[in-house]
Amino acid sequence: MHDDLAYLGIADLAKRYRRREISPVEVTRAALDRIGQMESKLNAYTLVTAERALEDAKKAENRIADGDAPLLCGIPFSMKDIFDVEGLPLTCASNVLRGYVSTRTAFVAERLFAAGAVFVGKNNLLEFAYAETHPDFGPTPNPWNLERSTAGSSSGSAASVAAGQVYFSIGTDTGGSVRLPASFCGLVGIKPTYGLVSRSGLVSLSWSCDNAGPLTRTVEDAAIVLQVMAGHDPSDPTSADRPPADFVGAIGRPVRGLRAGLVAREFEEHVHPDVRRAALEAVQVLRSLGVEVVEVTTPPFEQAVTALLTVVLVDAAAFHQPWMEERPDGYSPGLLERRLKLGRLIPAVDYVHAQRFRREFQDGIARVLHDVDLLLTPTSPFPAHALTEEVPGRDFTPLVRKTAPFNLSGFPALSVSCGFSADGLPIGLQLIGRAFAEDTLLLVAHAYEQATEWHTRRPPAI
Amino acid sequence: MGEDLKAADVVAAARLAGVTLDGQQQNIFAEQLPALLSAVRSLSVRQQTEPMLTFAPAREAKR
Repeated sequence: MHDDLAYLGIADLAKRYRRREISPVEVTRAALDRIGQMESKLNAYTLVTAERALEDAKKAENRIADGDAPLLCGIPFSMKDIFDVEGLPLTCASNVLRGYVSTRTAFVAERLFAAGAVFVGKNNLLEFAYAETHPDFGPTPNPWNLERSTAGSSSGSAASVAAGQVYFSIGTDTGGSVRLPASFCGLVGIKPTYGLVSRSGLVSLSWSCDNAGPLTRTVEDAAIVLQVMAGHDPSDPTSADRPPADFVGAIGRPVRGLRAGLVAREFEEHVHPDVRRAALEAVQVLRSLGVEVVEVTTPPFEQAVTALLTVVLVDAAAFHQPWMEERPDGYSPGLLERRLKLGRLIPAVDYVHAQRFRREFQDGIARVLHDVDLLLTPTSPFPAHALTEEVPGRDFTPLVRKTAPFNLSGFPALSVSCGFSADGLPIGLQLIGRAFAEDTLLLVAHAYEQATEWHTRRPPAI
Repeated sequence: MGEDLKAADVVAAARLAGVTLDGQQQNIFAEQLPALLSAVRSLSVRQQTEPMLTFAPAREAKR
């Protein structure tokens, strides 16, 4: 596939389908070719569903010819291998599930399939979306520099979108696992409000912190995909029974007069100078667009990270308890010994204490968001680290410091590319909004994106 | 468990939790757990705060 076609926006590609300049079958075949050409270096897939994808592309072609196809019809996409798709293997990049074939399809996948999007395969990830790589599945390097990390845990999803293999991918975010790979790979990533997108059919890491979200190359693409993903699912007891906002319609509205809260401390403490520079320049761009930016003080993020890690350690240990006993050899030693067993040793009272802190932290963030429309922080404190370390120093507290607080509190957050480090690695700006106000985040991020050129840059050829 | 957690304490807690640890892991957890528990226990929480996460309309109205 020619690079220009591989990096088209979803709406542009949909227009070309309707003008019959190119067909979904041709684009899907080209996407599969790119995956095949790069896979030995990128390791972004656990499964490629080529035959099914070409059949679905043909169906999409007919549906578009019939005249009333949705925008996503015929658009190739992938999903993190943590979502059920009936009849396909589900691995979560672990040997614990070796040989398992899903008997149902995740709600989010059903919606995307119903919209006619063409599913090309399942993406590699950190084992069970936690902080370790299973050696049998291996890491996914960053397309911008193959010796650097994609963060994770939605590593294959981010790499595949950044490398122009697919037009979007669906990841999950429990402490930053959509937003951090988006930041490291120069993409847009959204962790929606808890409850906006169904969790039914995704393998849990932490029930109350998990969120499914899109990874895309532009804000408009993210709005288009989120619009299809969002909505009530009666089979998920935490799914919000309310109509989603008009995310696509929000794009392009004026941003003048909106108030953004700059979380000043998060631009200063333990932040790489290139990240600080890029994020502060982005804030200046927002000011120039008419967004009123004021400094705000939030409850301390590091405390929220402590609470989040406690909740995730225990939830994951509880979820994995049967497999820890029945199939311990299926886990990487790192996940089993360092994370899951540790979670089993945390006293119940401390877990409940973390959950009670969570309640207060959420209230504290809500109070700040009462006076501003959104909050601004860098997404990650540093650009992509070395691929040889899943998490620098095995301590992922610094990495998730700016993202995890919003899994703890449930508020929506979006990462948009806001520049590059001196050595050419992407940097992300995080926008955090009120509950169910993803439309505001998309509006502001889109205005920023249109005023800059970061989203037009592409990684070197692989 | 407290600041002076020892490997033997970790073994006892692990036994209660039904977890088997090798000697190296006992020592690692004997370092990690006190730090983690100390951090969690230092989080300030009001006596009346309940553990829950919700965007229920009644809560929103009170804010």
